[in-house]
Amino acid sequence: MAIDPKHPYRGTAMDRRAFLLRAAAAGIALPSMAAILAACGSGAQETVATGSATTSGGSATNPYGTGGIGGAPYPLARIDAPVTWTVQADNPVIDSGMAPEKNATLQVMRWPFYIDPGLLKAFEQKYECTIVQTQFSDMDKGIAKINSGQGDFDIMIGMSLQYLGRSIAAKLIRPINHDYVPNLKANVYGSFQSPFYDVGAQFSLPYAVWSTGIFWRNDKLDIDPANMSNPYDVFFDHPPKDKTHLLANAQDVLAMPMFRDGVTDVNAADAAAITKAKEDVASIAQMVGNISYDHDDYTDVPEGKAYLHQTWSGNASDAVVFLANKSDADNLSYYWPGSDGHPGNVDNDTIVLLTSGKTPVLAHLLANWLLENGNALANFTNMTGYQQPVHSFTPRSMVDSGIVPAHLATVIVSEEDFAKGSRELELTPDLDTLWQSAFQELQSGV
Amino acid sequence: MSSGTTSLTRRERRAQERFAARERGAWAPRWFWPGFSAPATIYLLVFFAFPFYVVMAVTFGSVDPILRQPVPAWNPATWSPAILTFTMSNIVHSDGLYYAAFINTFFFVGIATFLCLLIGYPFAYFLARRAGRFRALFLVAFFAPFWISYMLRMLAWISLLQDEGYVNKALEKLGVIAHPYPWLSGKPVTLILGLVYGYVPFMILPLFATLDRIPASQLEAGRDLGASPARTFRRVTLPQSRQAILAGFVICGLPMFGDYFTQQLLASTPKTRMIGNAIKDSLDVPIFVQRGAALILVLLVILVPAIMYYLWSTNRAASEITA
Repeated sequence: MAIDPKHPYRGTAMDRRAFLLRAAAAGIALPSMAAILAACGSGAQETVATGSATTSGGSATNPYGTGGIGGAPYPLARIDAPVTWTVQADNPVIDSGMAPEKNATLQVMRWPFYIDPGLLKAFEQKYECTIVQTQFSDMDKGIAKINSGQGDFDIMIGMSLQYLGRSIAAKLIRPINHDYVPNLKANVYGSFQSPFYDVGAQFSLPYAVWSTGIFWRNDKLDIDPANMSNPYDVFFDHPPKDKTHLLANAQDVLAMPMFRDGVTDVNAADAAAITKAKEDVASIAQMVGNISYDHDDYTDVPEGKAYLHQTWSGNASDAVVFLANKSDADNLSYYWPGSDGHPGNVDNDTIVLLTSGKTPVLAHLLANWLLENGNALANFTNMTGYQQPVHSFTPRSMVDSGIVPAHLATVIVSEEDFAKGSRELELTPDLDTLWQSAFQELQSGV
Repeated sequence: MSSGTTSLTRRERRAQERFAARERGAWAPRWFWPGFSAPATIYLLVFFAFPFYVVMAVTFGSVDPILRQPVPAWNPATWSPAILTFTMSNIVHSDGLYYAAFINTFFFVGIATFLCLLIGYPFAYFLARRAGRFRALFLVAFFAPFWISYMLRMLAWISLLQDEGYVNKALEKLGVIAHPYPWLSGKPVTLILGLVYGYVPFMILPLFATLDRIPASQLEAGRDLGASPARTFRRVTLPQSRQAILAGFVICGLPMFGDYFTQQLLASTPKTRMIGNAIKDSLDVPIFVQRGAALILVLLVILVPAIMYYLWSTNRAASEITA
């Protein structure tokens, strides 16, 4: 085609060379942009008001609550130092006896695969409302979404204990009116009626419970950690080469060698203990060649990517679902060392109602709905694999009903386990930095 | 100062501009065609320039004392370089947190991009020169798997590469291996193959676009002058596809620098950690988000010379053609 020499923009017509040039430039810009946008997602929030808080914490004068230990602007809860959070005048409990909001939209925040959609559908029908779900991939992103003030989020399903105190201090969480949540008293374990991290359950309700244990392929490993004098030795004495995985977070990974050493309160570990734990884990990495830190235990072990995996019990129970051949469930074993008196973690997360919500009554009612015995069971079997701390869940009942194979009954957490195990709790900022730095060094292989 | 132009009224100036435009053969005012780039310009400003500034504000900002999340410092006068200094120090020292990730990335991306070229060039040549009427069929057949999302394709590879997967079964049957090879246990070879599989189309497309447009008459002329097919390729085809190779390296190679997903799914271990993984791991921990943001800045700065070289090379080639 002849080019019109008079055309004023003939020099800018896109030929093949220019196309390649610009396509290449786009090739650079797009991946960088994705990374940039990812960073923005975590960074664009404002500072919360700190009031007159000091880092002394734990004193009676702390504006956010009483009890706990110091080290943060708000009290840090410990089993032997429970925290009673202060209900602020500008964030009161809602009145009792109010009718649920009609034809309203309830905004739910949750982890992926963390609530049975059938339960929400049934709730919508019962209360003539619409539920909009927003997913978050980690607590940090979830908190950032709430704190951005850009959504009328009513309820968060699965807030970790590590984030509870700071969220109460930042006034992201609404206090609970227990009149709307009778299932707490009726169905939930006694220890959660007034837990140490929130005395009186004023701001939180328990959601999922799990233990952190050892998950392995019994057809590939010829050793049973349950029969070892120190079960954690399995990671040090018999780690399968290239097939040993640990969880992908600082507290779980570094707590494991501490538990092996007999430490029961890992939240109080000092710098020396953290360094030793890091070196211990590094020694495992050295032995197995290619260690992996991930949360894919529920697929890694069934698929044979890992033969030995540090695991949350909820993921172990989920793993059965991912088996190509269900009879292969016989090859999966899970053991929580805490069940035989060894140190070990048993934890829970929470349901919290959010101050940003516009339908507080419905939010209360949904929390109550999730603590219904039948609903908790449906949630476990249909979707999450993580049990709730309701009385109807016992290892015996799960096995008898055919939901859990007998040899995997160990994945069910009982109320007594909470008396045996340690808890993974919020650390002081300085200590948190030490834990996270040590884990980052492990991830980096240095 | 006064001139003939400035003494004209606004209406006269417009009339003069319209007359000049008509003389140039343009039927629209000067701003008309550049105005077409406005949406893209606005898009880039909103989704690239501003987020880029946010990344800088996060890098040089602080951490909220209660929520322990990064607080951007919008005013450059308040920027603190501590995190960037820390990050740089951990990149350049051999025992630093990010040193291995950077070395790994350059190594894996270099090999993977070169393999993409080795695989992509012959295929693009075949499509352009030899596929004949089956060209469209070959194109569709090759690119069909890429209509499926990247994540699903990588998940499929997990099934294929696991101990009891088809790859190990086939290799065992052929007698290549006696026991299943642990492909998914953090092996660099798996990561490189994953990168090649994921990005090779981006190498093929620019190569095909260029090779397809080399006139057959030039190749025939080379042979008429006594050159062997290999010599014709070396002296005629290859020089003319040089810019496409460069474009392929850029389009295919540079996205790999930010890739973290392939490593995470196929070879998740510290030994195969790439820059993208270091960034993601940092962004996953609230108190380390600033480090992740600093790594993004450093990565961008590292990639700038590569794109500058590419632009310089392309412009030089263009000026040689027009000279």
